[in-house]
Order: sequence, then structure tokens, then C-alpha cells
Amino acid sequence: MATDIQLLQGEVTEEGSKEPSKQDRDVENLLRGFLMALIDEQQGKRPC
Amino acid sequence: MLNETTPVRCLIIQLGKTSDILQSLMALRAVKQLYPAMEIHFVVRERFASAVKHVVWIEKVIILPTDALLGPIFNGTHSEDETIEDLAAWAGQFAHISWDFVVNWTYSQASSFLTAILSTKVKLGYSRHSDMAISAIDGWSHYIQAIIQNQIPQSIHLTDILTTQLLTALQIHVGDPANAGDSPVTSKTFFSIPVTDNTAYSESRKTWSERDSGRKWIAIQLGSLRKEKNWNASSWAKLTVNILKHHPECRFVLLGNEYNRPQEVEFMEVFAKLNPEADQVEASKVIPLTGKTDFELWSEIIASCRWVFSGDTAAISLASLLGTRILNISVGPVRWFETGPYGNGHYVLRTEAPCEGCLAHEKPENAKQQIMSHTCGEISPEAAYATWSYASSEWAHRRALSFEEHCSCLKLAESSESIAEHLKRVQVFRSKVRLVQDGGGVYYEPLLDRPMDIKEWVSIVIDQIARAWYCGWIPPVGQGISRERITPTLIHQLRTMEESANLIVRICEKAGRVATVLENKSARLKSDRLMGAQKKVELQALAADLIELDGLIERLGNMHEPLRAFSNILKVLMHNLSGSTLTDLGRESRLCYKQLHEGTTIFRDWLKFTLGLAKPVAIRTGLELV
Repeated sequence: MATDIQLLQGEVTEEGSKEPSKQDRDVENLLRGFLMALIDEQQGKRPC
Repeated sequence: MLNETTPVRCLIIQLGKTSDILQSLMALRAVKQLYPAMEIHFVVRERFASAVKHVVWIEKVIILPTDALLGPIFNGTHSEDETIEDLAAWAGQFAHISWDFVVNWTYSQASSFLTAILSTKVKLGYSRHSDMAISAIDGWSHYIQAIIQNQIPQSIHLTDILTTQLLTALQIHVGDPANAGDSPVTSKTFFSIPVTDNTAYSESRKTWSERDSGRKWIAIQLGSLRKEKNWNASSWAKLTVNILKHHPECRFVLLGNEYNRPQEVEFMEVFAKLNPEADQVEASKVIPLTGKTDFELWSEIIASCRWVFSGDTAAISLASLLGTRILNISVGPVRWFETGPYGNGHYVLRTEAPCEGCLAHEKPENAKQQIMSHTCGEISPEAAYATWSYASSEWAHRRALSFEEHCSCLKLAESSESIAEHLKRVQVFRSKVRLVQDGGGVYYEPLLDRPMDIKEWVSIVIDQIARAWYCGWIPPVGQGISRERITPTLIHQLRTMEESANLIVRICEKAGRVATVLENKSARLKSDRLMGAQKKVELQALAADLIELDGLIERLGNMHEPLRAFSNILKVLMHNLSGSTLTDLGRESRLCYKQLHEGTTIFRDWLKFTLGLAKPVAIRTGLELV
């Protein structure tokens, strides 16, 4: 997953680096928020 | 400033429904005319993508495959993490582009996360702060969050808000537009739809293409998904029969979704009952196509009709785009002045009396306690006929004849009540686009003299405040308010908040002064963290003063519904402070209170003006006149 998120930011971490950067974590959190909100909207919990 | 010669790359995020997409397209069209170098990319949900796919000036349509992404989660075949990876891959196709503008016109939770992921020179709409809290980036987004989404009365059309928001940003970051952009935004050929042989709808297409095109066709959009927003099918049928009786040159086509089929069945039954001797010819005057059209055929039909009758926002937005005239029978909890017909010469019909069901919808906490029934659908077919007959004969009377005069000449033998009686229960409005020198934008002119209620008064004043805040355009105080429409009830309501309106102006003024002192004192600090005990106490006291003043503004908003606009906007502005130093925060706070002071002053001046209108005027005695 890190690969996609890093690509999303236009940055690829150096080979061998396993720790996701703060930016990676932020993007992952935003994507998670996006997914959860989409699910809520789909289930009619929030207005579309 | 961006380079004017290179294309301006703009990503529009619109994850809403068809009506939202059509409104966004209307706003974008106006912007594209002024800034032809705009390269517009559009993010849309798969289910609602048809409308955008057929717009030639949209560079690329990016489809969010909601069902494909969420389906596996719902059926348990995909984990959350797997879906996040899918989402990352989907977003990756446009996240690497260096955008000039990312414009989120969805105003939803989900879209705000997506906006936050993207990097761009300018962002508009909702996004996320670094702590993941929602952020409203620009002034108009503050307004949408604080006023529109909180049901505060206002009547600026959403299309105008979106257009102004983007145009203002373009003027700041790209420069003034090269041309005047006075060509029409609406067009019968707004969509470029190729001739297809879509077998699913080929029968309907054939029926439509074989119609008698020499007739005046009227499309009736039978309803929307929500029952309370539908005018009943028998009323539509009675209106149709009335029109056919007096205007035999007219023909009708019934439109709607699959879920509107029962209404179509009811319509046809009532129509047949009202025409007991109906033969084949009579029946052919109505083509039932409910649930039998795709977007392409739907827009083709609406473009070829003279009129669209509808209460459904999507059909209204589509007809507005295509320049087809609209009779909007507005039923249910709809903020029609924000989403109603756009352009000149459309008509809107509402019930006069407030609907308990709609009022309960505005305040969901009340609706939970008691399920209110809707009375907003009680618009008679006779009132609808009178409105349409006036509207469709505008070419003859050129509005030299008033609506009431026109109705006094109308005679409907089948109605036991006079038309005047039917009109007592409704409000009729005609849409008009204001000249730029008058502030621009669409407004709805009332055609029947009705007293002004507090909601309408507030909406007029809030409009002016918004124009002053975000357009720098201030109309003369009292524009649009006439003495004849002011009632003792309105005066009483205004008087009860007169003192509070004066007070809130003074509070904002004082808060502005405190914020200025805070800004100046913090600017003299060498560090935000290390300071003398005395300085710290002083700053803490100033911050406490501001908190107290904010509390007072909130209390006034809770006491008087119309003042809630200011306590809401204050909360939104404070939530969106972005400064990282005390000085920055002090400066931003000062600007917030300045904005609030300007708004509350306008409010107070309008209140004073309206109360002044109601004051008795001394007239000269007979003796003096002699």
C-alpha cells in the first residue's frame, strides 16, 4: 500500500526504507477518512 | 499570479447528484466563457457521470466507481485496508498532476478528505486541516457552511455562489478575463450527444422521434424520489386537461424515473376519467415515458419541449441549462430560491401558508417529537393553470397586464371557485437575472402582493451582507423593501430584536479592538513561548475578553433566530484560523471581527430602515393645504 500512497504524493521513499513518513501517514488517514465518509453516505448516514 | 498564456488546470470535485452536477456545469460554463484557457477536469460518481460526459469543453471526466469500491466491503470480500489501497490507486491517476485550482463543489464530508489529499496552487470549498478537522477554505465556503447548511434564510442562488466563488479566485490568481463574456450560458446544444442505438431505450426514442413535432410540447417531470416533494399525480392530470381544453395545440410527455411509474399510472387513470369519451386521438396527446429514458434521451426531450413542468430539482436544473422555460411547482422541504429555475422568465409556484411538515424538516429535533403532515402540496391545478397561461402569453401582453388582471379574465367552467380564490392559497414568482450594475444573479420577483414575513426579510438582508463580504458590492439600504408589504407582525418581530442588533454591533466593534491590542502586543514579543509573567497575564486577559465577547455573540444568536447567522459565521471563521503564531492569530481574529462588524452594521441599518418605514408620517392638514 505504501507504494500507491507514496506515488500519490509524487514521492517514492528510498529503497529499503520501511518506516512510512508523516506525510504517508497523513495521506493514509485522509484516504481512510474518505472511505469511511463514502460508506456513511452510501448507508444514508450523511447527506451526499 | 499564474501565467495568463498557459492553460489553467482546474479540477472540479462534484460527488453530488445529477442536480448538483448540472448546477456546477451551469456555473462552469459561465466561467469557461470568461476564461477560455481553463482546462477543466471533473470528478464525478459513476452513477451520475452521463451529464458530464457529453460536455465538449470538459477536458477529462474522472469517474469515482463508488459501487465497485464499496461493494466488496459491503459483501465482505474486501477489507478496509484493501479498499484504501484501491482508493489510493484510483486517486493516483490525478493526484500527481500539479493543479492550478482544485475546486470542491460537493460540500460534503467525503469530498473534503479527497480535496485535502490533492496538491494545488489554489483550493476552494471544503478540505481538511492537518488535524483532520473539516476546513472551509474561502469566504463563500464559510457562508455555505455557516448559513446555507444551517438553514439560515438567504436567497442567493447556488449557481451564482459557485460562479462568483470561482470567478473571484480566477481574478485574483489569473487576472481579469480577456472578454466581457456576455454570450448566453444556456443553450439547446449544451450537451453534445451523438446519435446512438441504445437498445434499452430505442422504443422510447422511436416514439419521441415520431411525435407530431408541429405541436407545442410540454414535459411533465412527475416527481422525485421523496414522496413529500411530489405534487400529486391527479393534480398533474387535471392541469393537463385544463391546458388541452384551452390550448388544443399543446401535447404532453411524462418523464421521471422508474420509481415514478405508479404516479404515471395514476395520472393516466385520472386523465382517462376526465376525458370519458377519449378516443385514440385524445390519448395520443400524452406520451408516457416515465422510467423509459436515459440521460441522453431525457435531455433531448427537455431540449425540444417548449415548457418543463416540474418540482424535481434535477429536471429544473437541466431545463435551465438547455434554455427551456420552466413552471416549477415547488412542493416539500426545498430551498427553491437556492436551487430553483435559473434564467429569465421561469415561474415558481408555492403554497402561501407555511407548511408544518417542511418547518419540522428544517428543525429535525422537532420532527422526532411529532411527525407533521405536509400541506405544501395543496396547490390547485387551477392556480397552476392560471400561472402557466399568464407565463405562456407573455409574448402577447408583454407584462403590461398584471398577473392578477390576467387571472380576473380567466374563466374555468370546471372549477366551483373563482381563480382569485385559488390564488389566495399560493405564491407566484417569476425569475429574472439582475443587471450587473444591480448586483447580478438570479432573483424571483413575487407576482402577487403578499405581506413580508420575518424569514423573507432576513433572507433579503443576509443576501446584502454576503454581497458586501464577498463581492464588495453594497446596495442602498432598504432596496427591495416596500412599505406596503410590511405588517404589524413583522414590525413587532423586528422591534423585539432591535436592542440586540445594536448590542451585537457594539460587541463586534469591541472584539475587533481587543483583537488589535492582542495582535500588537504579541507582535512585540520575541517569542510566543518565552515571555515575562506580566506579558503573559496581559495576553491571557485579552484572550479571556475575546472568549467572553464570543459567548455574548452566541447568546444573542440563541435568543434571536436571525442573529444566529452571525454567531454561526463567527464559529466557522474562528475554526478556520490558520495562523501559527500569536501575532498571526491576533491579525486573523481582528479581520474576522471586522467582517462581523461590517455584517452586523448592515443588519442593524436595514432593521432601522424597516422600522422607520412603519412610523406614522405627519400629513399636512386641510387648513394648511388651503
